[in-house]
Amino acid sequence: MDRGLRQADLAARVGISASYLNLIEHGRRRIGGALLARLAQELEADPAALSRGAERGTVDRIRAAATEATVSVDLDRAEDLAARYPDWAALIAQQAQRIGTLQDQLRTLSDRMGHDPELAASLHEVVSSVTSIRSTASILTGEEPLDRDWLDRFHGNINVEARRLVQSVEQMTALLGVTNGGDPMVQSPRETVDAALRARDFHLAELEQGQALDLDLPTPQANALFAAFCDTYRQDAAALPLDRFLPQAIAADFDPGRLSQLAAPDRLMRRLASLPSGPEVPPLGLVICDGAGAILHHKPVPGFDLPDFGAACSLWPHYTALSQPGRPVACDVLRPTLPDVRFRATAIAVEIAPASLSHPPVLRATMLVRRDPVPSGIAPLAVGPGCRICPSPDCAARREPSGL
Amino acid sequence: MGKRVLLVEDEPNIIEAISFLLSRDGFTVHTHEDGGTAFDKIAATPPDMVILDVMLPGRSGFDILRDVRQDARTADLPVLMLTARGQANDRDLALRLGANHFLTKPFSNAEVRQHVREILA
Repeated sequence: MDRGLRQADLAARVGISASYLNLIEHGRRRIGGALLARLAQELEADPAALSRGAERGTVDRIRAAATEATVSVDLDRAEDLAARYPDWAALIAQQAQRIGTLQDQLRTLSDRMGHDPELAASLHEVVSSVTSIRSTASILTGEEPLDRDWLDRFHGNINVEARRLVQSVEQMTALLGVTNGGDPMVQSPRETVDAALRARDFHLAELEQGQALDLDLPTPQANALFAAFCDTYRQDAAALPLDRFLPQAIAADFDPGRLSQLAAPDRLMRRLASLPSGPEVPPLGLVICDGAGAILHHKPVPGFDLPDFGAACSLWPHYTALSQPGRPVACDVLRPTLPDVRFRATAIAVEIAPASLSHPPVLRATMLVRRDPVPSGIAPLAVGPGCRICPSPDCAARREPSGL
Repeated sequence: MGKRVLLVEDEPNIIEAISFLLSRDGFTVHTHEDGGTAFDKIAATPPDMVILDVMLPGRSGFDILRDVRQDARTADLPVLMLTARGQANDRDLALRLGANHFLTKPFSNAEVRQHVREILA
C-alpha cells in the first residue's frame, strides 16, 4: 500500500480480519459509518474517496450483470444507478454474483452427473437397488397369492437391496460432499481450492507481501493442493513483483505477447490472472490442464466457462496447444450463446517433465482468456461450452447430440 | 412350453423378480449375466425375444444389440432394452441400433409384462 502498511496490519488497526479487508478492497463488501471513518483515518484518506472506490466495484458488477441479461439496459446509467440508489445497486450486484455462483454450481453438478465415473457408478447402484425393490415390492403386494418360499425369498431380497441402497446413497452423498448445514456444492479437493480462491478473487495479498497463508480447508487433500498452488504463486510473485509487474502489464494492455521478455509464457499468464481486480485491470480468466485435458485450475471470466468434468469443446485453444508443445496459440473466440461478446484466448503447452526412455514428456497447457479485447481483425473462432449444451448445429467437432 | 425369453441382466434380484413375473405369465425365461458372452448365447440358441440391459459386465448392451442386428441368425430378433440412465441420448441410440422398445429403470412390472406380451403376441 502507498503508506507502507501491510494489509494484515491495517486490518488489525481498524479491528477487522485481513480477509474481510481483502473483500472490502475488492468491492465485495460495502463500508460506512465507524469502520469507514477508522479506515480513512489510518489511510489519511478522504472517507468519500474510499466510498467511491467501493462503488466502483458495484458499478463494474452491475455492468457485468447487464451484459449477461436478456433484457436490454442502458449501461451508461450504471454509475447513475449506483450513485442515486447505492443499496439497490448493491442488491443487484449481490444477486448477479449469487446467480453466477449458482450457475457455476449447477454446471459443475451437471458435468459431474454426466461424466464423473464414480458418481455415474454410484447413481447406477442406486437406480439398480430402487428397481429391484420396486419390482419385488410390487410382486409382494400384488393380487396373486404367493407361497411361503417365494414370500421369504422376496422379503429377503428387499432386505438385501434396502441395505445396498443405504450404502449407495451414503456413497453418493459423500461424492457430492453434502453435509448437514454445510456448503452442498463443494466437492472435490480441487473444487474446494477453487472456491477458496474465488472468494479472494484469485489474488492472494498475503503471499504478495511475503506472508504465510493457511486457510485450513476442510480436507487434507484440499490443503495439500492449496499449498502447492501457493508455492507456485510465491515463485511467480517473486519473479514478477506486483509493484513492478502491474504497471508493466497496464502499459502492455495485459497482452502476454508484449510482456514475453519478462518471464516464461505460462508464468506470465498465471501472473496476469492473479492481478488484483480493479478499474485498470480487465477481466482475465485462466485455465490450466494436463496432457489428458483434465482441468487442474480454472479462474472463470464472465461469459467464458468450461465444464470441470470432461466433455469440453475440443476447439478450445488450450487443447490445440497440447498438440503443439512450445508453440503459442492465440485467437479471438466467440461463444454461440454470447454472439456479441468477443474473447481473446492465448495458450501454450510446456513440458513440466522431460521425456525419458521410459515415458513421454509430461505436458501442461495454460490458457489466458480476456473478455472484450481490442478486435484483432482476424475472424474469431466459434467455441462452444460442450456438445451437450451447445446450440451450434453443424460443428465438425460435435461428438454427441445437443440436449438443447 | 411357453415362448422363450432370454433376460440378459447382471442384477440378481432384478433377474429373480422379472423371471418370476414372466414365468407366471406363461413364458419360459432363461437368464444370462455376462455381457462378454451374451451374443454367443443369443446366436447359438436364438430365443423368441431378448430383454437386454445396457450396463453389463464385459460388454455394453448397445454393442450386443449391434451384433444381434448385424447377424443374419438374429437380425429380426425382438429386443427390449433396459437402462438405468434414461437419457435422451441412450433412448435414441437404442432405437437407432434397432431395439424394439426401451424401458428406463426403475420400470414398473406392468410395463415389462405389457411390452413382452405385445412383442410376443
